[in-house]
Amino acid sequence: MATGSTHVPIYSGFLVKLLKSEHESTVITELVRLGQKSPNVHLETADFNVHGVKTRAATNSIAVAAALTGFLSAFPGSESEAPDIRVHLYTTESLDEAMAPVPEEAPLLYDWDKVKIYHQGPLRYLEVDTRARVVADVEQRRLVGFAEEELLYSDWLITNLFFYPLWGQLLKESGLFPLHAAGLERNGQSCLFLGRSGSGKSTLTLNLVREGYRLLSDDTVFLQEEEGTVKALSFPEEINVSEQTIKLLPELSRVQKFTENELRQKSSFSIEELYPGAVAETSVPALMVFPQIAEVKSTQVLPMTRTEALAQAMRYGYFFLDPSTTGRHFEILSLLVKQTQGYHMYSGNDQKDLGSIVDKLLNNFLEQDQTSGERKE
Amino acid sequence: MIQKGHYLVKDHEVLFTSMGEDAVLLHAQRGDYYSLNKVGARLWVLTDGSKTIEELAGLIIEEFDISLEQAEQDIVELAEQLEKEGLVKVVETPQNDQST
Repeated sequence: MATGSTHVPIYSGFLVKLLKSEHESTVITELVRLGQKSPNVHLETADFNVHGVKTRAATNSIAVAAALTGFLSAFPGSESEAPDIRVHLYTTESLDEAMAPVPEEAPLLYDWDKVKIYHQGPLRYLEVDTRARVVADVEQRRLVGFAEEELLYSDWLITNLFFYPLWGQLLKESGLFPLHAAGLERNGQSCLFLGRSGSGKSTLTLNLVREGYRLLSDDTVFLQEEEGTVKALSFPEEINVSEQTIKLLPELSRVQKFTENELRQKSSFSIEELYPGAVAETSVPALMVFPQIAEVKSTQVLPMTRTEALAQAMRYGYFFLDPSTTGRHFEILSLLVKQTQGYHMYSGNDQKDLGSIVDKLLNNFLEQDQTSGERKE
Repeated sequence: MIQKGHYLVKDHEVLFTSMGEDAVLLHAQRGDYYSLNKVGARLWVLTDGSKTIEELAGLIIEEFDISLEQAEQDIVELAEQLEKEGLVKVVETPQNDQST
């Protein structure tokens, strides 16, 4: 375990208090104990409330604390509320000394080159290269991870590789299902844009916010089912834009503070800086749009069948198929597809008409919805 | 070779959702997904491990404008595809279907 002088508190007054439940996982408990063992390790905690799901995170690392605080800045929580999810992330000088390898018999759930996820009973194991390991108990909704400090030189690595994969799974266990999509809202209804990086989501987002739409998220929304209706909930991370997008959109020259992300060759900024009050918290999705950049002058849209929309939605909804939530996740995505209309969007060079195109699609949807009553299958 | 006296048993890892007339199947362990047309979707709903292909065909022709012979032939073809993809097992005796 690392006991170096870099482990100093940054939230003065927030002293970690790790609560033990009577039935908590032995593996997790032992790892938490290991993480706390070194006498000079100062742990800091922060509480977050993500649409009612409360997370308490403890770490011995300034870098991890700062990255998580930035990542979840839209979701401040209270230390007086009992957390639903407990997170412990430690840095260490030697991963192998801090944490046992993933059991050989644990089946692989997900393999993305250097990022792998395994499962065994209620435990999920995340490996990031040979530099970080995280174990989560999906029943206890608790996770513990160790990473070698040199891996954590970027906020993106900390949040997206060390923290998010298994925390996202614990959110699913709590009823929040992440969807890789940009979400824009107007009058309580929203349009979700689903696509890989480079499909034009951020450009679409900025064009629509300029047209008066409010932003749920540029990259990930949470889906939550309530009485048979799927809602899209916000995750207002900073908007990632490429150099090319910055050149294309003149208003971005007004942004004072860009966060550079060398790993992804993108820069990010807060939408609130350009458009104060532009963030929406919740909406009911009416449209699912699958954009792609096309060599056409004007943007074109073509309706999709629901089967096609569901197949596409699964590509962006499932990060990995976890046996404990796959069925429920499938239900949520199916409900979402049934309550929305799906479209292919071929984004043209001229996006000035984008707001009116989406307006028209939303109006069409509302008219059909009113005509046919509740959309039920 | 699949015969009309055989039974179809769904793999318990397969999830089903109706999309209007069509349906989507997801193999939860592998992550593969498939679409079924309306006849295939209806067949999936009717399949519970206790009906032979012949009996399934009898139910299908009550709902769709198709002959018994054609229905049996189509179901055998679909069963071959479903079995090849690991979505069903084709067995000679009836079985309790545990899938949902």
